[in-house]
Amino acid sequence: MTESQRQTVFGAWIFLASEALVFAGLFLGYIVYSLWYGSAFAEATAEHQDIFLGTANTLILLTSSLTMAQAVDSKQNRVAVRNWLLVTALLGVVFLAIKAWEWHVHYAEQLMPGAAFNVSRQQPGIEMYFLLYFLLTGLHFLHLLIGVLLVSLLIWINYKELKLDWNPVEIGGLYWHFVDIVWVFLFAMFYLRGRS
Amino acid sequence: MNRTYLKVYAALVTLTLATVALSYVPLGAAGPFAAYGIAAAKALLIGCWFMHLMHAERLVVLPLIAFILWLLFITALSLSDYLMR
Repeated sequence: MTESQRQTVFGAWIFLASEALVFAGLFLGYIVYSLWYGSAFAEATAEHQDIFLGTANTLILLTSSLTMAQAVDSKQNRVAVRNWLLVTALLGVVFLAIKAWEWHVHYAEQLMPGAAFNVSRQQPGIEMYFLLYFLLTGLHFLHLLIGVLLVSLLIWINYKELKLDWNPVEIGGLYWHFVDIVWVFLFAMFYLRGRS
Repeated sequence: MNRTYLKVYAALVTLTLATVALSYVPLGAAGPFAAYGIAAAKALLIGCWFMHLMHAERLVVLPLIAFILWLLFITALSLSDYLMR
């Protein structure tokens, strides 16, 4: 590795550590409320989350991490890098589409917190569950959207054969995998409770 | 295709299906620990291999340690308040 490659990798890890703390603060909020409203959180998950779509999306994102790792691994093979990046971006878009569809269903069921929240299913804590759900999956969605744009930029750099003294695909890969890890935890928090 | 990555991927898929299956098993209070334990194992697999932590320079461990340290601070301080009210 060259000096500037090492510097960019180190910088990327500093950035990701601070990003991780942003999510950690929100996860902590989730932990506190799930300790207070355990049964409401379990009920909200069991009744309103589609385990099939959630699992499918998890597998899609894990697959995109594999293709991203292959892109980084392809190094000098320019065409292979570009093809892996294309597959990665495509999988990211599929994830975003499924997530948007799930939100649409939840919105139609009046589960968006606020004045229109369906009070007939009131058990204290359900609205808090959906507040955290929309906030956290929303922030994750935003990160993945930026990830897809970033991968598109990488494809453009690859296509134009731009020469940089550091490896942008490697840095983009670190960000992509980080967003994948965040989803792995969101999946456990919002899809796997109250089913037994 | 990098064979190591394929093995890591196979492990990730297996763990995902296992955690979904486990969520239907009545484990009581151990349920969340199983779910988050498997999530942490998956995160570790992604971090160590896909993010190259296994072969990274020791310097990148520094931001990671800083993250874990602050994570412990905010968790310990928050829960020591909320859990003891």
